[in-house]
Amino acid sequence: MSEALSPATTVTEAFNAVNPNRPLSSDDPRYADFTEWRSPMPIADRLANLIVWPSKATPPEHVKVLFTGHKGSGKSTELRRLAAKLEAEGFFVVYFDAATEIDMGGVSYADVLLALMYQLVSAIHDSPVEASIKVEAVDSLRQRLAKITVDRTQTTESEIEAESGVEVTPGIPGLFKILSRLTVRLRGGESEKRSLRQEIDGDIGLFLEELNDLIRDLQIRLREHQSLGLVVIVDSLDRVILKTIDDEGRRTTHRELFIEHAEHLMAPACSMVYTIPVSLLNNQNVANVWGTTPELLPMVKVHDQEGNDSSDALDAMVDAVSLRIDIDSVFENSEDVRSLCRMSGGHLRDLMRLIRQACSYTADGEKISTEAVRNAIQEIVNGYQRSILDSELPRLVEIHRTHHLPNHEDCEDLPLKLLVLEYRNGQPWHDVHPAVLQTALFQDAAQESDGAA
Amino acid sequence: MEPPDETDAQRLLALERLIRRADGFALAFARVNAPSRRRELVADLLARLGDDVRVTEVDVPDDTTDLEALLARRYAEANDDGKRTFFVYGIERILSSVRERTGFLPVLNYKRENLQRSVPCPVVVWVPEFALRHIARGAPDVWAWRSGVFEFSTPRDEVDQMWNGLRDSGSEDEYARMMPDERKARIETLEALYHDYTEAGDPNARLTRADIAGRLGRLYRYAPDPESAVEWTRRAVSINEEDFGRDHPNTLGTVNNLALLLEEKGDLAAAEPLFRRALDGSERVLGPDHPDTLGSVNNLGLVLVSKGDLAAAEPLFHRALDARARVLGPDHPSTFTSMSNLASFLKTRGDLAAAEPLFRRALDGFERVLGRDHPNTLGTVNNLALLLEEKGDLAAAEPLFRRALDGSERVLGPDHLDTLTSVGSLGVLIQLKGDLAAAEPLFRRALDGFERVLGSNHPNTQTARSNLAALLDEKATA
Repeated sequence: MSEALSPATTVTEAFNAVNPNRPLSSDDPRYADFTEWRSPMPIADRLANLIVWPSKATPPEHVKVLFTGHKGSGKSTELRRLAAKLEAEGFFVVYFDAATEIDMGGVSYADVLLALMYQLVSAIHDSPVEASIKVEAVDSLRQRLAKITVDRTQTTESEIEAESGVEVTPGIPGLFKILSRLTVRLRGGESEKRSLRQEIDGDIGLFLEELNDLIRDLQIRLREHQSLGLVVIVDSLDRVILKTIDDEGRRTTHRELFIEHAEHLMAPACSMVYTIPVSLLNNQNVANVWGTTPELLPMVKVHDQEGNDSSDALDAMVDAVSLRIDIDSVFENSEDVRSLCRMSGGHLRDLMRLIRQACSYTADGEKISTEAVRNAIQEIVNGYQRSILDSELPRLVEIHRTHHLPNHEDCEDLPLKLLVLEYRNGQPWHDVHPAVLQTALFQDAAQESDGAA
Repeated sequence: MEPPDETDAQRLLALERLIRRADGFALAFARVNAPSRRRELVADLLARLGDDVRVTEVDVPDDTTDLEALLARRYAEANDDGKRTFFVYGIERILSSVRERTGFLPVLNYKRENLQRSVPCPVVVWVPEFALRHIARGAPDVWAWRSGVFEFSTPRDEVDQMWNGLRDSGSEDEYARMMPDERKARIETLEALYHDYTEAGDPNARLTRADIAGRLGRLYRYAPDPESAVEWTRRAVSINEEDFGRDHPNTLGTVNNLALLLEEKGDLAAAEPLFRRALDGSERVLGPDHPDTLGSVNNLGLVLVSKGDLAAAEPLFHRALDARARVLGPDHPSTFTSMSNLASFLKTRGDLAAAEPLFRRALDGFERVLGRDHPNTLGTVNNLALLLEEKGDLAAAEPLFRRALDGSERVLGPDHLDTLTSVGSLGVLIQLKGDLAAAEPLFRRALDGFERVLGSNHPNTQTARSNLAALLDEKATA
């Protein structure tokens, strides 16, 4: 609802102003800067610097940046801001949301590269630079992909004819048509996907070389047009489902993609930003193979390690709410907004969900009461209680006591489920989500462990 | 779980507001445990929404794997301009089976992004508590997208009516004989009842809860869903411990059940101390010859055998058989169980000549007392067949293996652990006979089943895997 950018003054408006499912666009006035309470400098600025500085070296260098954060912490919003910043600096930016292009149930590096290629080619196709790309830079890649399309659809005569029609379109337009067809298969059935991956996997070396022929030519043309070069931003790749894929539980879908196939994901000859799952944040192998540690968007630090309110950070969260909602017109008691911020653990999507639930307990024409706020808090506590497994309780008790997330396989799920949140500002530290602290399950377990100690 | 502090009328009003206010997609969960209560609430809400909001009611078929695709289809069919909402029912039927759940939830989780686009209206998912927990754990991203959860209660008299009308004996035997669908339905009902008996400070409600938790543990054992079976049995243990104390027979019974389940899962280290605790407690409280005590003696013997401690196990089997024959009588099913256990023990020790007549006596007894298709009977058939196979009498073993497999497929279902074990056993026999081509599909079926039901690390799964590997090797060199 772009017309509702001024703060909401009724519960109905407020309900729709806090949609937990929609990131903000780069220029949305409702964007709130929490830098001071999350990290030493604005994260989008930091990511931009990581890319801009090497691009100004002679010869220009490109970098791979890994970006992570809890789900719903505002990563997509920050990446959209990054894209806008880089465009303003003069980069040719290709941003795409992997979750809408690829089936997150089982992602292969080949899916990612194919989606990347499609996004890249379609961005070139839409831009004036298309005309300057050399046909030779595209040809071998186009022919290889055309072969995959034809091979797979040999079943009917008419399709082969259709395909050979495609084959004669040279350059970027031809490549774009082929990729549009191929990427549809990325969201198709399992066997379709498997055969597509095998085709790419089999010739991966040549395939990457040909992709880089295109990228290198593009980089030259971009610089001729006074651009600083190409940056690809892959958002939402952190949503790859975490599954164990071997007997010992050491190989997971996350490790397979971001460690074993890092080499392939790093191959494109341009600067790139990948979002990776927060479960891999402290994984030493990730740092080793990528040669860089992931950049984290932490939670807003609404309390310190002793559990005392960090009142400046709470103020900032309340201010963020006031960019979306006129607090005095919508809440009976403005202190209640603070309670909701506190209960969110500094997690923005949880804050929005809390406000939504409080809205539902408020009639049209009325203001949100303390009672409604209490209901919302109870709902989120119950909600977290449902997602805790008995086997996770001892770890949670330990983490709350030590403020440290052990680098152990059985802890990888905890930040993904938001049971444990990471804070920074000075030293990084972890804590159990404030709503989890209030569950009966956690309190019983903590008591039991006190008794045993 | 404590419901938020407001009445159902307010909750319904809040849900109605969410539906009316949402601009585009919004996901809400309405938690109702009793189906009768859900129908009342839905009827009430439909009346209040009246003509302003059109409601598409979707009763999700049991074999659905992709909820998003189903809803997208229904949304496209309902294409119109007015305000619309979706009510989704019945996913608890999918979530009550571990097999269907593991297919359904991950797909739901990663397609949530599509859901927002393909069903751009408020979606209300009506589910009982247990299904909500599965969603929270198995589809965390969908769960994180909810705009609200509305927890409705069921009036106590309706809950009591459901409980009293259930005619559930709670016996292992009844659950073992149930057809898979029947078992699923019973699990759903009991899960719902458990979460509806919530009133704090009502001792009867707590007792019923402990009882229901124990029943669910037993039902899940046959589902088969070992994880849930352990979880529910643990819950029963802890309620019983609080209400009756550590040494009460009710508590010890649930401790014993928990140990059995852990043993079945392959966690012998956790099972042994629990068996010892149950045995020690019931010897003290009930006496050395009480049937419960003898059950514990027997169970402890079995776990010691699994651990390889044959010397410690032997006196336990003799003690259980002698005492059961004396106390329960020679024709009691438990006496035959002890006989069959002693026979298995002798066979494990390599004393086939002593084991065979005991197996035959136990089998004959089970057939007379429990019938030809009872799981205990079928288990003994399988054991006798294994013995004959070991003796080298493949011709006599084969029809017994086939009988055991056929029976447990019919009675326990194709994915039951006993059935899978039978499949593997028959495969080995056929391999020994030299028919490698016929053995392979059996090995594959057993491995696939164990992997799904027990996970890839379980000893049974590992055995099935190495059996298949050995067979493939043999085929390659043949």
